[in-house]
This record gives sequence, C-alpha cells and structure tokens, in this order.
Amino acid sequence: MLAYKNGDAAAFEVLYGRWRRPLFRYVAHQCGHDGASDELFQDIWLRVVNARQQYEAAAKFSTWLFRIAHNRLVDHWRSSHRAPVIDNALADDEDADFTASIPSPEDDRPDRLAERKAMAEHIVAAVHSLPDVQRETFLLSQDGNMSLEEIASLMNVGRETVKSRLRYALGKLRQELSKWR
Amino acid sequence: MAIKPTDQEILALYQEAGPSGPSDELDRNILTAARAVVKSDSTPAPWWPRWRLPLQAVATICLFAMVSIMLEHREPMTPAIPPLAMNDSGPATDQQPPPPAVPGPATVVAESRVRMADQAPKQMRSEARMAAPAAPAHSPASSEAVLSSAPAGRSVAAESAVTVPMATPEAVAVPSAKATARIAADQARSPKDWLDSIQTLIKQNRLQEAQKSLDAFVQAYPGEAVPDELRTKLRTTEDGASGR
Repeated sequence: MLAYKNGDAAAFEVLYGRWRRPLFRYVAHQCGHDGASDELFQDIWLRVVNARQQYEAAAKFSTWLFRIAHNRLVDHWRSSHRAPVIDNALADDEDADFTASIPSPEDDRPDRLAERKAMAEHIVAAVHSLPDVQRETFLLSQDGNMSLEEIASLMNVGRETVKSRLRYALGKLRQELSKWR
Repeated sequence: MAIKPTDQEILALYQEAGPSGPSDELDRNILTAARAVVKSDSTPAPWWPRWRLPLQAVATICLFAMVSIMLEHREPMTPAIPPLAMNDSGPATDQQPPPPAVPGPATVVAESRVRMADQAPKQMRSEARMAAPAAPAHSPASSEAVLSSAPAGRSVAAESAVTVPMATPEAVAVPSAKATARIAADQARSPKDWLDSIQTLIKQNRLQEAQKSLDAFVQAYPGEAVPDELRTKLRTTEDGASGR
C-alpha cells in the first residue's frame, strides 16, 4: 500500500488480487450477494484508493481495509434504516453455551461427500442467519484473517467479547450442521 | 481459541461455499479507477497556475499606472496668477499671454485691475466702459495706503493684489480667451506706453477715447504725473469740439 501511495499502480493490483475475494465474501455475507454488495464492494475499494495518502503502516493492510469496509457497512445499514442486532444477554453468556451439547461429526463417510456442497451452502445460509455482530466477528476472523485483538479494535469492544461472539457463532453453525446431519 | 475438529469442518465448508469473488467487470472498474488516480497524481501541473498570481499583480500595477496617468492629464488647470511681477522698466512686449484659466479670486482681481487701468487702446474700449462703474467702489482709504506705500516702480501684480478691490458683479464676467490675452498685454504696458497710446489717440482725433483712457490712467496710476501738454491738448480739443 505504501508503494501504491507513492504512485506505483502495480502495487495496488497485487493488493487487490490478494484481498478481493475475502473482502467480497465479507461484504456479500453481510448484506447478501446482490447488486448492493457489488456497489458496496466497489465503493470500499474506491475509498481505499482515495484514502491512500492517509494510509500509514501502523497496522496490517487487511486491518485497515476491513476497517474501511466495516465503516462502510455501518453507513449502509444506517442509510437503509437497518439497525444491527445487538448481542442479547443470552448470546454473551458463557453459561448458556448450548453448543457444547452439539455432537461432532462421526466420520467423513464417502456417501456424505456428495452432500458436501449442499452442506456448505447450508453453512453459508447459517452464517447469514447469525446475529449481525456474531456474523461480522465470524467473517472478520475467517475472511479478514484478523486476530481477536484486531477484531476487538475494529469493533470497539473487548477481546473477550470478540472471543465470546466467535464461539457463539461457531456453536450455532455447528448446531445447523447437526440438523443437516 | 482452540478450534475443534467440527469447527474446522465448518470453516472448510464455509470457505468452499459462497461467492468466489467479484465479477470481472467490477475488477476492471476498480483497477481502472485506481490507475487513473495514480496517473492524475503523476501528471505535471500546467505551467499557467504558477504564473497566475504574478501576472495578476503585474496587470494590476499596469492598470493602476495607466489610470493614474490618465487622471493626471485630465486634471483641470489650477487657477494661477499670471506672471505679473514686472517692473515698469522691464521688457513688456516679450510677455506671453497666460493660458485661459478658470476665474478665481486672483484672476478676478487682476482682471478688474486691468479693466480700470487700460482704457486707452481701441480694442479695450468696451471693457473699459464696463469697468468704469467699478471704479467708485475703490476705497479711498486703500487708495491712500497705496499712494503712500507704492513706489514708482512697483509691480503691477503687487498693486493689484493689495489695493484693487473686487469688481462689481457685472464687471466680474467670465473672461474669454481673448480678454485674458488682452489683460496680459495691458498689464505688460508701462505708464509711459499708456500715455503714448493716449497721445496717439489724440493725434488720430479720437478724443473721446483718449479722454476715457486718460481718466482710467489717472485712476490706475494716481501717483503718476500726467504731462500738462496732454491735458492741455485734450482740454483744448474738447473745448473746440464743444464750441463747435
């Protein structure tokens, strides 16, 4: 990004090639894979381009990129009068971790491999059904490859909160997976 | 956070599904925009914005100088007293008539003084008639002061500035260019020349004009001695004319 900031257009192409898919998945899972996600995706990258002079190598580029994406999504939700679902008490309560009772898969039987694709689609649908903050935490962790601390900084919450949200998100996905099975 | 095997399977399934990435068109748009921005940054700025400020300053200075010069040339001529400081013995004929000027107090005083003084020349007869009523306005006290203080060779300018009062309104007419020139010519004339012109009028048998001119001379130069021969000639000729 520093190279692009100094006028190297090829450096941007490298960055874009590296982060285009994770960012697009992050955006698409946040607001649905339709025209809105395309528009948001383009707008986020244009913000990156226009804010190149403000970029400083104090953090990873991915952290900076996903922070811009997060802020843009917040604007999007605000403009569409859609308030993100705030964690309820039950969601952040570790004692209510019901996912611990979800059984793990028995084995990878060959007859299930055919159903793998359908299961994956089911998982994606389950991700979409997560509460907003849990979904975003999950997406930042999986697509943004961000650490708990980075996610906590971006979402302006504590590290333990991020950890809890991530655990609940995975528990719900596991539950959905068990239903499938 | 330790990820259980189930979680790993979930994450793997998640990565397999879902959108693989943006469309090619979207990629193209973003990359084009990114390249365009970098290109616009590297494009050198045109030369003229750097010179805009100096050019504006130079243009402003030139404009100011031109307007100043124009205003200077269009300023009205300030009324000035014509060069009157001239002794009786100085050259009178070399004097150039002053340029026409807006009548100011000094000009009016000089004009009235000249009207009273110069009644002899033919071309000034009409003006002398106009100036005649103004003569009584002459203060006797001031005349006395002039008589006592003014030397024989005093300058006409000094006399006009000190002793000659303001003329009557009818006498204070707006001077034309011709009248102004005449004033200068009359002021340049010495008493001797004036008396000579009266002598000439008598010889030309223009007695009335000669008498008026003499009266004006006496009023203008009360201290100047009028030759008896001149008075006698006029009296004789007038008596002869009236007798006839």
